[in-house]
Amino acid sequence: MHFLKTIASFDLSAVDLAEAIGRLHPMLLHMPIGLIVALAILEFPHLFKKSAPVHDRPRTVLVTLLAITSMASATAGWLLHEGGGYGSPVEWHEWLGVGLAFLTVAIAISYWRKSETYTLGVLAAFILLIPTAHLGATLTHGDDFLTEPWEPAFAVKDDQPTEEVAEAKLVPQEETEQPLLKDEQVNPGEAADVTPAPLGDALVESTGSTFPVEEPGLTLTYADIAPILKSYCIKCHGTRKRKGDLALHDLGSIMAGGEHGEVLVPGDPLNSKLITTLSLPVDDDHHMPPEGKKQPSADAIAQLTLWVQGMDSAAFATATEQSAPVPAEPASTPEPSEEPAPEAPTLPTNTSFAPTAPNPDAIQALASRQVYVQALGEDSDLMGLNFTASSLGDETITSLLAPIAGLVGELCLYGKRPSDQDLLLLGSMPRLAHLDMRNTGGESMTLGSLRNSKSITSLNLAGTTLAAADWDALAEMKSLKRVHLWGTGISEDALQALSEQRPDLVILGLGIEGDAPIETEPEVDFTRFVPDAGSEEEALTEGEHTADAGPENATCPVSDKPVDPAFTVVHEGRTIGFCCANCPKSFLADPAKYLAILNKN
Amino acid sequence: MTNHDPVAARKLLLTRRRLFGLSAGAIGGLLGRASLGSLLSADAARGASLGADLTSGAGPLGNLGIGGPHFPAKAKRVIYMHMEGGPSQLDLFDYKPGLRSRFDQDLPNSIRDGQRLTGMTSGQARFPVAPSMFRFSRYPNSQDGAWISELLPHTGSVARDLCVVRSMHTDAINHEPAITFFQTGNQVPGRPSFGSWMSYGLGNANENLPAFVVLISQGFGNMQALSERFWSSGFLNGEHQGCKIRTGDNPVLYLKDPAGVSRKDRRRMLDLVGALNEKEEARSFDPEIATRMAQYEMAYRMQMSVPDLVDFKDETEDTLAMYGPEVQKPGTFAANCLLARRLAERGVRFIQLYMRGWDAHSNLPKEIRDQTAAVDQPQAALIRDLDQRGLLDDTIVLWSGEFGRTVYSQGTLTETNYGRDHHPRAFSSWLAGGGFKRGIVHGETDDFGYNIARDPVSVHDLHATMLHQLGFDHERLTHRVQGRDFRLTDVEGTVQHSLLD
Repeated sequence: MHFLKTIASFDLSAVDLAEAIGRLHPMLLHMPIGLIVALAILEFPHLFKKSAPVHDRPRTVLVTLLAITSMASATAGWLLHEGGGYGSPVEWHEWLGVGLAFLTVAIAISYWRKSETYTLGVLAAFILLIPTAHLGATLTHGDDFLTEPWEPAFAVKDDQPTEEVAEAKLVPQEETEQPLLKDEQVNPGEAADVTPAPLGDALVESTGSTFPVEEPGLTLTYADIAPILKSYCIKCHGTRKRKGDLALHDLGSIMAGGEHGEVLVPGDPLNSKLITTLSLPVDDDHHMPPEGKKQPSADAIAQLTLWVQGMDSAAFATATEQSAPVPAEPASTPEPSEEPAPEAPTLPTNTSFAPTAPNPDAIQALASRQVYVQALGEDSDLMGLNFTASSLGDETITSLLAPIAGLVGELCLYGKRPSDQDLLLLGSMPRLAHLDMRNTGGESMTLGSLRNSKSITSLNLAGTTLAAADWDALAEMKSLKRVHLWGTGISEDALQALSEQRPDLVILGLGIEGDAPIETEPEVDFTRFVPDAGSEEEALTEGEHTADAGPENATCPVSDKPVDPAFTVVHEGRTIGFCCANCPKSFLADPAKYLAILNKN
Repeated sequence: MTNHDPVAARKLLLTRRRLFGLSAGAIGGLLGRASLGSLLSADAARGASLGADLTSGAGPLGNLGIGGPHFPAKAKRVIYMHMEGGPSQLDLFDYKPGLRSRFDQDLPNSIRDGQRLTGMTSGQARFPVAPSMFRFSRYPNSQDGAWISELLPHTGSVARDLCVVRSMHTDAINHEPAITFFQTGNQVPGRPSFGSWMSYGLGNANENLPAFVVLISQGFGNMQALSERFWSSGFLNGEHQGCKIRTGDNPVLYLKDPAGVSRKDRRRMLDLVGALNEKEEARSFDPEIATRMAQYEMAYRMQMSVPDLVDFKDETEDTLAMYGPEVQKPGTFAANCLLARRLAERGVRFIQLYMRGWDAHSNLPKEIRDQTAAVDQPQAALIRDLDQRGLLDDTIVLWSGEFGRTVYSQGTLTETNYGRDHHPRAFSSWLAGGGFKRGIVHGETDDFGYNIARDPVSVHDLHATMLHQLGFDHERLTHRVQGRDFRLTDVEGTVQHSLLD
């Protein structure tokens, strides 16, 4: 009855026919391959010379079947590609395959017409077949399918650790790579998460793993587990193929997830499909890798699990100056006031505090969000960033800064309001010296985890209203040397307290007033002699002052026009006036002549 | 063997063009990675080319094409208040009480020493000394005080922040060449302006606004022409040119959408043009196309950012009062000073203010009173406002004319009226912030204020010193064109460390 019911409810319109036909491609494609090879063998004696085809039964069958099956195969392949899930390398395969299909049709036509191009067509098809088939196989099996078994023969001794090596060196990490910050910053809540108690048991049961999952303090990094993903996953979820729009070849892609959402929840392997799909029974439809493919060992799955489990704290650990592993037991709990436990912000998993070369993708992401990036000097690996013009969209300050957190020396967040998570990151960035948080706007904000900063030397908070509790935070920032507090709403008392707590802290921006002059010179007077003994001024004496006397003459000696007092020349103690600027030149050229005229008048 | 086949030659040419295009892309590491399809690549290409020009590539960032200065910079931006026409240093900053006893005395020949004068006074029979008729006051600074004229009481009140240079000198004696020299380091037009060099060297810190902005205030005294080429980018890429922000409904010309065109339509138009440009870029690899696309996108963003920029609604009463009553009148020096602060806090690199009208050949006392009344309070307010907001530390404020004015009077000399001619040999400028020493007076002129007696500072020296604070070795901030490297300071300029902290 059930069977009939199924038949009755058959609904063709619900089927994606394109996909259904597309999936026939792997089945169909081997027929034309065999037919081309068979035809090439059959025609081998004529293959290298032009000759009309011999018509006989086997040839007719082969040629006809070839044209039909190759067209069918190409059509199915085309539809399969339309369905997606393949990267750009499929393009070449696709065009070569389509070309090949049309070529087989051409062969069939030339065969029926007994054309001399027939044998050439067969030869061309055979040659074209090789790259087409190879590219297709590469898509399915990966580009190192043929070479892989040979790799050990060429292996260089100190190459990337293979997966066996990686498994062997799994001991608790004694030291993190870049000890940069002090240890107080470890969030005890996260540290406690490292012990994967019940899950470990479950895994041991379900997979028969012998791996010491419950080893306390064990943290794995992405580098530790990358070889596992490389061996088992990235042939289908990598750069070449992205089945289900999921790529697992780097951390960023893993975090990005696939078409069904995220596959990794940091700290929560039971909700991470990356882990759960591995643990399903092999015949389950959702099991990965698919049935028939190489399956990871139980230890490898355990390692992946542990990595996911410890992700938060592992990322955090790289930022801390810990020489010992993260304690498994919750260490001495600090004052409860400091930690708003339930929703404490955490750092993203890709946070990098290392002063290593920046990831070009991270720089690209900044540029695409209109964040200005500048090098702080040509010999420096530090960057100055300005978020003023940024439009963050689905990114956050944290998501943009996390991959380059060890490289930022200056940061301007003018007009941007950092979240608690952003402040956590800013407070733990090891080389951030200058932080500009002017005009973050809105209600008063709290400095939060910024108080943990060990690197910020100058902080500009002008125009940012701060919560009353934050003045202590400023005092706590030991590295802080200069702080701008204009427009922060700081009270007299708080200011007083801050300067007492931190006498070395230069507080700027407050009480800027203009100065009154120290002294002003006496009234300026150069027309009369001022007998003021106390004055610093040299006053003019009557005798030195020539303007008062005025010219002695009323008419210009050169032009005979009325004198303009603006144009005078002092000559032999006499002040002589002229009508314009040019006449004095004539006068000085021959004073005797004009003095005579003057004297006559 | 040479191939003379024109078709083959054409093919070779195409191949070479593509090769150059490709290698230009490869120089910018970013562009190499960016898909040509994204608009981002246009911006990235620009940043990348900067990196290639200006960082040695030795550091890890240089390899990624991230540009930056040569060494860590003290200052990030410049507000340059150009007093167009040449203010009289003798009536403002160069205090010469001794001249009061030499009123109308002929300037001794030993002082002028045969200097060529402008055509406006070379015909004058006499060169009567015109002492300033304005009283000076001594304002507290880091030394024993700065003497500043009664015309600038507000400026005097911030003397604690000023680095007054009384020993500036320039090569040019007329406005056009002198302004050109001050802006570009050369009297002959055609070189890039200081702001363009900044944009070229550091890129744009705020991609919603131009890196180099010009604001013009009309003066009250005698005004000279103000050529647009003063803020031209010369031989540098056109995107480094200064952008003039005007008053009124249309602060930036051609920015508004035409009537009837909605922002959505504009976006669709830009997307379509962008797609076509991408195709052309992919074909020709012409870097100008990337620049053009970036400019279109920036203009689109400026449509949003500029109205917000020029609207003073979010300023407090206190702030507005500080700049004085004129601040509400767009285009006044007060309004432009406040606008300069708003641009500075948004990360604009180079803000050029022009105040016209200082060319007082006659009626100097009246003209300078009007001019100083317009600039005194706003410029002092700008200093204080920047200081409050913590921006003065990394902003160089420069106040200067293209030259000074003569000690002798041009035309009528009375106790209450005189004029002064152009004087390039010695004049006063001041700087504030950006790591310049606060509260000093540098240099000295002779008793007549005519020649420099101590610590001369040339325009090239000033440029070199400012570039130093901005993180650049002025000898290495160069651009190669027509077969030689050009720089702002040409072949001269010495960093004046005595002006710096």
